[in-house]
Amino acid sequence: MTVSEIQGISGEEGDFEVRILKRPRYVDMEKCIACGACAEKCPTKVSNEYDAGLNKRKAIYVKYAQAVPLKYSIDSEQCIFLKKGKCRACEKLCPAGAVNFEEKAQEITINVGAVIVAPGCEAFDPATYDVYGYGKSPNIVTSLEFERILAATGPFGGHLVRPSDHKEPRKVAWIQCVGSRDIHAGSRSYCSGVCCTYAIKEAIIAKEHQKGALDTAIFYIDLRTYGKDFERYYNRAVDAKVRFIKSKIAGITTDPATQNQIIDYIDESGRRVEESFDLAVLSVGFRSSQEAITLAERLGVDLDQYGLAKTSDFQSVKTSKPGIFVCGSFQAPKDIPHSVIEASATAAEVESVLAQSRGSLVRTKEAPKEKDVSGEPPRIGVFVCCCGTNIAGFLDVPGVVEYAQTLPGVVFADKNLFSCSQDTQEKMADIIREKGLNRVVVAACTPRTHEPLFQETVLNANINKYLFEMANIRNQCSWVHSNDKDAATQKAKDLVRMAVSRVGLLEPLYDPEISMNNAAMVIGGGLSGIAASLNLADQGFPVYLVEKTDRLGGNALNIHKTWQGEDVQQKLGEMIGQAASHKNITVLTNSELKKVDGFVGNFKTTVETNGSERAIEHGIAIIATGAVESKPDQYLYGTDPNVLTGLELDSRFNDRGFSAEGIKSAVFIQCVGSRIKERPYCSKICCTQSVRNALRLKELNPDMDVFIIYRDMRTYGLREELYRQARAKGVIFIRYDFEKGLTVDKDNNNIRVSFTNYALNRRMEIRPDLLVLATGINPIRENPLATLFKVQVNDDGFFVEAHAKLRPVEFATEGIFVAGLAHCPKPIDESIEQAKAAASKASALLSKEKVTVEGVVSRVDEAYCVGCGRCEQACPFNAITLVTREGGNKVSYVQEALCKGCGSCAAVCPTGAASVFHFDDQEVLSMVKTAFE
Amino acid sequence: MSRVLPDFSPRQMIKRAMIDPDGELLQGKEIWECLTCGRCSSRCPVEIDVPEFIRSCRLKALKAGNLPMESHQGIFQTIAGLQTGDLKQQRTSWAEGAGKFSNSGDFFYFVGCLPYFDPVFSYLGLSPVESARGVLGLLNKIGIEPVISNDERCCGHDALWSGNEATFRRLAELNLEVIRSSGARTVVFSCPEGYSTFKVQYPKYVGELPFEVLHVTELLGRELAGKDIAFKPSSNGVITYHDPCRLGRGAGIYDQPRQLLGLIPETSLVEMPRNRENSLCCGTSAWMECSNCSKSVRLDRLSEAERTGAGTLVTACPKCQIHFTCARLNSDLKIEVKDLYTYLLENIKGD
Repeated sequence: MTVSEIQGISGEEGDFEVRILKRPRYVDMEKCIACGACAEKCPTKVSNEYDAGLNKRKAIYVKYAQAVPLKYSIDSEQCIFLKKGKCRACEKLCPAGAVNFEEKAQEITINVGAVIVAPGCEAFDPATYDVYGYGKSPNIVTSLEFERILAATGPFGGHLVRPSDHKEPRKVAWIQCVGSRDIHAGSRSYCSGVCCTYAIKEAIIAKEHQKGALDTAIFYIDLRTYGKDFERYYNRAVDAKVRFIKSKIAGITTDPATQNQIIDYIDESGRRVEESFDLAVLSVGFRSSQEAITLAERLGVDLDQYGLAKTSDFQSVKTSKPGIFVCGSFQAPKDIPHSVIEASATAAEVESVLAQSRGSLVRTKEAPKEKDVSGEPPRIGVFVCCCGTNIAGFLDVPGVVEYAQTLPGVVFADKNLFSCSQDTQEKMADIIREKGLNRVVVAACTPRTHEPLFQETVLNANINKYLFEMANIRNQCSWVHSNDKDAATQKAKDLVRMAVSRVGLLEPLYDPEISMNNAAMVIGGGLSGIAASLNLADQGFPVYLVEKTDRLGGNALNIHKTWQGEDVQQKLGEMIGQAASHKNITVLTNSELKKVDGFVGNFKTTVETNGSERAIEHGIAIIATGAVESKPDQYLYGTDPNVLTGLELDSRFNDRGFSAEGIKSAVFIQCVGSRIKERPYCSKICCTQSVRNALRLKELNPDMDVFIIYRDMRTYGLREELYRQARAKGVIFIRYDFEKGLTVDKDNNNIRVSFTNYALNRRMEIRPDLLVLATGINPIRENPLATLFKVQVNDDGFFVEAHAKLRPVEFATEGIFVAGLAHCPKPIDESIEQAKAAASKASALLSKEKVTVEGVVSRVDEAYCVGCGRCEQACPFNAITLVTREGGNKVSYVQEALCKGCGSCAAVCPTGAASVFHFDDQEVLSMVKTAFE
Repeated sequence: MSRVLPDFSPRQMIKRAMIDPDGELLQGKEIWECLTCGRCSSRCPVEIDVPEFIRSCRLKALKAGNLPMESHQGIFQTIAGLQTGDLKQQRTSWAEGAGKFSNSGDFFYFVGCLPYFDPVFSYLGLSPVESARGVLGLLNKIGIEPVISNDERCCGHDALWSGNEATFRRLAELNLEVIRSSGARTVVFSCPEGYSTFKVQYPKYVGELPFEVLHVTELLGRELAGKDIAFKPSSNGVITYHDPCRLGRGAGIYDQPRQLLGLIPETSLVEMPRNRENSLCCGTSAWMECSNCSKSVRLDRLSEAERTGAGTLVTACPKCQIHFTCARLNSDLKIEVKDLYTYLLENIKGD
């Protein structure tokens, strides 16, 4: 439902009635083929918001090339017909008759059990704040505008130029925290959480565009690269000579002669400095949009002081209203991986709420019976698509049809006006039956979007769907050779000839089905493991929760409060209680995995409990084995009882008897064992933990001197509020010079902390009564699960997800998921979110009785296999293992359930034993040979 | 071969060809599976040249569209094909720093495919071109600064044995031209295939050669004695030597490599039960039809070598080295596989 808006909601969790206003799109989505003829002729040019206003679009438009659905719509505020009653050019031109000016807005009502709110945020508008000079020069751009400047599809075709004169800049500056960490009116006091990393990314990409000749400088307050592998990226930028300048911006002015930006800033020592840049990029932060706030009001969802949805740390995707869930930057500022995790977490919540009605709306489709065509000589049919005029207007379609009729094996060839329209589908199926075709070629657009549709057409005519091939004569001929009809026609003939040669060789394939055991195994009984287990159990799946120690809880057993001040022990206690008494959860404490056999849907795992082994069958596994707080071997730790780690201090707060008596001064040292050469990652949680604990000490004794000695304060996102509170309460923050070192020793029985103050550039000493070391998070070294499940860990020792941004809880191997600290350092709310996300992804498999996998899989001809193991190493999905055959020969075995048909095995096989069904050498090479005929 | 593939029989093949010379034999796989190792011929009471018979069958099979399964994605067949044309090669850069060589002179070192093997077999941890560096070092030791040429072509061995006679002929012509223009009177080979191809096959196709063809072990055997070169004791202890098919049965060179190995003090050379004329093949020939059967042959040979008590198997052929190294993957075999020339150079005193 596009161009639709929520009007109101009634009812309760499990039974909502939602009123939706569906505004007219003026384009029938069923008919629109996205050919673009309408936009070409539309006379109205308006600012293109997708390219951040840097160029123009038409009043009838698709927002961007990858838009889903890829259908045009009319901007009713800009269309001159809708405004002035004259034009209708698009309606006349549309070859599909899709434009419909008669469309009216309508209100519809739907019944749902739960609602997910994901309205996102908008970027801060820097024009409201004149310090940054935005709007005064075209060479002061926001980071989003800069993204478009860098993009190949952007206004300058990916060429890095400045907007004023289209010249390549030699110096570019990024200004951080524009509209974030700022309490001026219109700005937001929180940290937007993503800008430091995106500014580094933009600087690195800009340098790559300019082949290193570009000078880049990032003006920042604190560099907050706290995400997984982000610190490495920051180090890479430092190595690439991106300049990082800790500063306060006084103002940006434009030199009228050069259109350069003069950045006036105060450096850390208090000096006032001016530097000129060709281009200034404002790293703008997030703010909630008025539309999102209105939506929240209509749904009755409570907002916080920033206009973001109010949530708690233990239920961070639940809004104040039961049954309504929230994810993305409207919950709090966050980056892509975290947004994706959160999205899955909301799905998990919904799956649990609606568990009883799972599958109630499912309709099963009867698969048509396939005709056995084996042994028949190929009888090939070729359908050439006109795509209205989209293809036919640029190449000679009848000529291609005529040519196709002459090709060997072709018994039928004809053209279609629109191959993808419903009536044509039926006509094609009739022809296939009537002419007795056993192979089909459609010469039209891209298989990426249309292959499944035509495969279904073929199947409806009782032909195996793999006996089909597409020739992409739209993208590869009419689009790219639109000004050379002869060449486009010739190339279309070549592509059709190649497709015909291949289709004649294709063999029918059958998509194998694998059975799915609907039990889950969760390894690790910490907060993440418990959260994942509870969600899956609430969804109705049996769960085995395996914990190595004698009790559930993990690291959380030592934590006092969440950053928002929620009592961890109370919440954790409740969750442990629920897990222990849940009818679907079997808790196995004192237990470890010994052996893992099988694959998705069919795992058989041997678990040892108190010395006795048992085999457990399960369909999926979630790895939530956590990490540990590192124990330092420096700074008097272990030798002086007044030197504690952050977690140890938390643990003392948990003891009811703890008092701050006798502690007149306390020092927190940040980044102990993090952001160093041996552990080049940020442990993410320690800044917030120290600030919260510093506040706690101040609460216990307001006269206590509390110091936090840091490198960059990384109280990201909404946690910035804690940092502000701490400064207001008198906690003293001192940035120290990491290069010049920090020492802790004893002087007359006093702890002495010495370091160089960055701002003063002077050596300083503090003699605290309590020294807290904010030590980092260490992964479990040589985690046996990596070997047992054959999943990867990164250089730091954390598990590697399938895709850092888009598949953050999955492993490349199907059916295995990761959550919590085992994946990377993260706080309680994010661990629980990731656990729920993993549960959601797992339930997508567990809820099926059988899983169908693609027929395009690899096969190994054992006669040719020499068992060298190269394919096993090359397979990204762990689908190949070496097995020993009778006589002792080792050969490769492909587990079809795990194979994705990528062909990596075939590419490395030295003997030609490995190949991929549907893409074997003969099938591919015949196309190559035919291409040169 | 027939021990691993019970249906494989040279005798049967010859019988079938006698009944129907252009018949079903040319459509089958057996003529490609044959290793052309010549072991059957060496004991044939009626002296049938089985490899030659197979080669003639392949010539006809190829024309009939019966193709072998090319190994390594056919890269070596492609490289050989490319070399029949006009091309600029970078064939001598490996020698920079490895030893002295020249553009013209009496001796021509025919390096063969080694520089092409390097990138393909890095996954085995092998650098076959090291062998060429070893040979160049050894030649320098006996006072020879050989010609090595960027214009050298593939010797054509694999093309010939795959039934691709046209490619073979063209490569031979080009090579003769290159050698002629270098002024060399002696051409030295380390690769057994190149050596036997020049020695045995070239005269059949292009007539008598205007230069002497020597295997480097022959040359070393002849020249080393008079030179002030001594070998140091090797830590290898017991070693065994594998006779490559083309060098042994193909060209009759059995003694020279053994004599050279005998020069290294404190190392004893033990023989495998199947040695010299009875030596086993490394399981694949001409980069095709490498299979489970090839692997069995290799494992058989390596186990045989291990059973002699040797810790190292030395071979004079880069392909044997590659194939045995591959076979050791994922096996329990401990025996090391070494190239003769690097082994010799490593153990020369004073280095």
